Amino acid sequence: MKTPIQATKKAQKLVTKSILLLAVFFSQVTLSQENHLSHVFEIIVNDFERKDSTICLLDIYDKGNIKSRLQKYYDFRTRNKPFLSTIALDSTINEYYIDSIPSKERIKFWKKKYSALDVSFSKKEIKSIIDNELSYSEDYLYNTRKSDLEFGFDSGCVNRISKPFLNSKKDALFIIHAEKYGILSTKWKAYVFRKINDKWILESKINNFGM
Amino acid sequence: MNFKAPKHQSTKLLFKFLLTTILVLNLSCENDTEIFENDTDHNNLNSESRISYINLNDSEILKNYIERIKISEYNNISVTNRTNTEDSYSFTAIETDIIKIIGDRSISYTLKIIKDNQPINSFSNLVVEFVEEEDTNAFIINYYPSDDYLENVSENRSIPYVGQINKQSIDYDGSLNAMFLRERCKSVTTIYCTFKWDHVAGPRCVDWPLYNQTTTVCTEVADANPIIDAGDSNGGGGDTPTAPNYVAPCEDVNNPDNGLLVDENGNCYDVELDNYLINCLELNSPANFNSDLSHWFYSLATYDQKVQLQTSLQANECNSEAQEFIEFAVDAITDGSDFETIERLLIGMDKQCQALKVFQSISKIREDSEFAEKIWNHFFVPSSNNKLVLLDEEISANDNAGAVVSINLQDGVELENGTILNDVVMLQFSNTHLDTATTLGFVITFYHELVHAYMISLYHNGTLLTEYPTYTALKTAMDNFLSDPDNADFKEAYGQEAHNIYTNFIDDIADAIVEYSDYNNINGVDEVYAKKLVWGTLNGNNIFTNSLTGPQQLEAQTLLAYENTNTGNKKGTKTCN
Repeated sequence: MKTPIQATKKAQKLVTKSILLLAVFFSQVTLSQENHLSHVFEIIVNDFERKDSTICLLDIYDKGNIKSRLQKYYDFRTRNKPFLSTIALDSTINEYYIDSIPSKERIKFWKKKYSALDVSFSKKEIKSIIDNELSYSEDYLYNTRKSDLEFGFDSGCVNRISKPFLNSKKDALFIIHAEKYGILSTKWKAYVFRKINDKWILESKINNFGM
Repeated sequence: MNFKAPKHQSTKLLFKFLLTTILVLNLSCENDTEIFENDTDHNNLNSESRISYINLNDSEILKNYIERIKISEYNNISVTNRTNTEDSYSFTAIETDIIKIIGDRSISYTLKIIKDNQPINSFSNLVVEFVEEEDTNAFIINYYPSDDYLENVSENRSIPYVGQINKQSIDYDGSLNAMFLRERCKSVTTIYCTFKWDHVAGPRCVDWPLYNQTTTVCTEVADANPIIDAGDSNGGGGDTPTAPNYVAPCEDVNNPDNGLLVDENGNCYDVELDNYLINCLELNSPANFNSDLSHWFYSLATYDQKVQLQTSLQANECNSEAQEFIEFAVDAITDGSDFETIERLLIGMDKQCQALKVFQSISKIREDSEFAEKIWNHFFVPSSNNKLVLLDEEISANDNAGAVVSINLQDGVELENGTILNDVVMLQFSNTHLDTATTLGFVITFYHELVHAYMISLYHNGTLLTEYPTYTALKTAMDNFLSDPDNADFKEAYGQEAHNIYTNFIDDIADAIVEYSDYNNINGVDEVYAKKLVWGTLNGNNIFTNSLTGPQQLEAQTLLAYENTNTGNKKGTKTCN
């Protein structure tokens, strides 16, 4: 039986270890961003609702879900396709149908919610992430080949995060965080950062990413 | 709200009629109309992808054009940052939601504009046409809707525009003196979409026939704000590129001190008025169980409707009869829609065929199935406060689940009218399951998961033990799991308890499966067979191994596997690709 103090210390240790590990892995993204990205992940890790676990990379199913949710964002941005549809009754024929035409209020809500991504990433860049980084090989994972440190792949991992997805100018990035409750649910969040004066600044946290 | 005393029916109808007639015209700038010249009336069009919404930055040519008109003749931007042209014609152009139409030889853009002294309920658009090898053509179209149109559009924003139209030519290159030397008349053409009913086409109308309706506009005006009798309509028939710029009472320039405020959606509100109604109708009281009334008041009610209610309540000193009358009135308003939306059921599934099938698996049989009726009443009826989102996700193959339901509720899910929903139950289908199973197969999965969703919803509502007093073990398991979701023992215990209760639902679910099969002409699914399918969904849980013999377990697994894999002696078929 762990005491609360032991559990807290362990949690702190794990979080610290995770931050350090992430800092090492992300150093391979670009050399110039080495120190700054550790700051990025420190912000994200500190925002975890449940901190008492290690941090894992995404698995193949997470990748599929991120791709699906990012595709929903892309479809909304390019075609106003709603993230969520409603069911409506056409009383003239007494049939229910899926109403996929969002109201202006819903469009306004989603535009505001995803505005940070709109500003920092072009449609083409989003499409490229969907079609390339989230579709082929293991480009969605961190590059851990040059590290002999073990990074979490445990299926029971609570917190999972994606690699940073950068725009072409490399002055903005977003990272997806998946918080797991076993298979019973996952909370998806996106953290959008912008580089200002050579420092990554958290611009927006998008809860329920893809909805 | 379900009280249907006969003595109130006529009152309800009368009040519904009266309130309908005084509905405030909440007309936002729906920009579903296009204008360009020389199209033939009522030709069928094949213009897929020719209509789109853009922002100014999406079109270089238009952006350049706007930049040019934004530069004054003296190369000097006005202090209000408007262009000389905008000042000359007394309007401000809105640079978002521009309608772009690609013609055979031209590209036209329709921009919403707001005039400095826009007459109440009128609206205007700036149309810019770039025609191959011809001068750029630009003009303002002014719309003055008829009273009938304004009355009717409050109930249906897609009805064809009726009212007066005129145009003002714009000379962007400085030769203003030539503006009236252009053609006297102009054809204003609207593209209609035939989806569901004839309405003005937008970029989403891609799979349905389009046709044009053209109106000739011969009234050219120089005055930016001509006074025209809106009821004196003799040249209408086209439709609206944007909806009327309805001016709410709180924005009335003739009465700036009316004490009213405008919310972020452009609706008027009055704090004192709201407080009066909240107190009189006890909307914030814990004893208020009328969620419809609260929802209507906080989300749907217009300023004018509130004023009418206040008048009625004050006249009766806010007595109980007046309060009851108001409830009927609101009921009449809220259930009067021809296109009723089930607001608390949201579909986040990419596989919309499957989404509609699972919805119909409840809606089509609810009058013949107690289970379906229970689910319908809990999650689907418009008056329900219980929220359910259906998703299709990637679920790990190791978990071997056709679908899962989140025990913890989701916050921050937004509703059709912009309201943010909290405490939402999430039901996530496995994409693989939806792709592989027969329709009967994933409907059975849906029924199974709906029991979980129902229990989770009751638990979070605090009514689980009220509805099912013997489910104390389930409640304890849920309490424990939510208190420590990383505890494997709690997780296992919840999984088992969540399925132990199915012994009370097997008959009802089996009955629903039989009704569903009958409705869909699926042969060979009687009560006995359906129960085996239901038991098959419990495979992997103690209740399954403890309740069935070995051969029974094998049979249940096998029969369900036929449906889940669309193989063997399956009874259903795949009706979605």
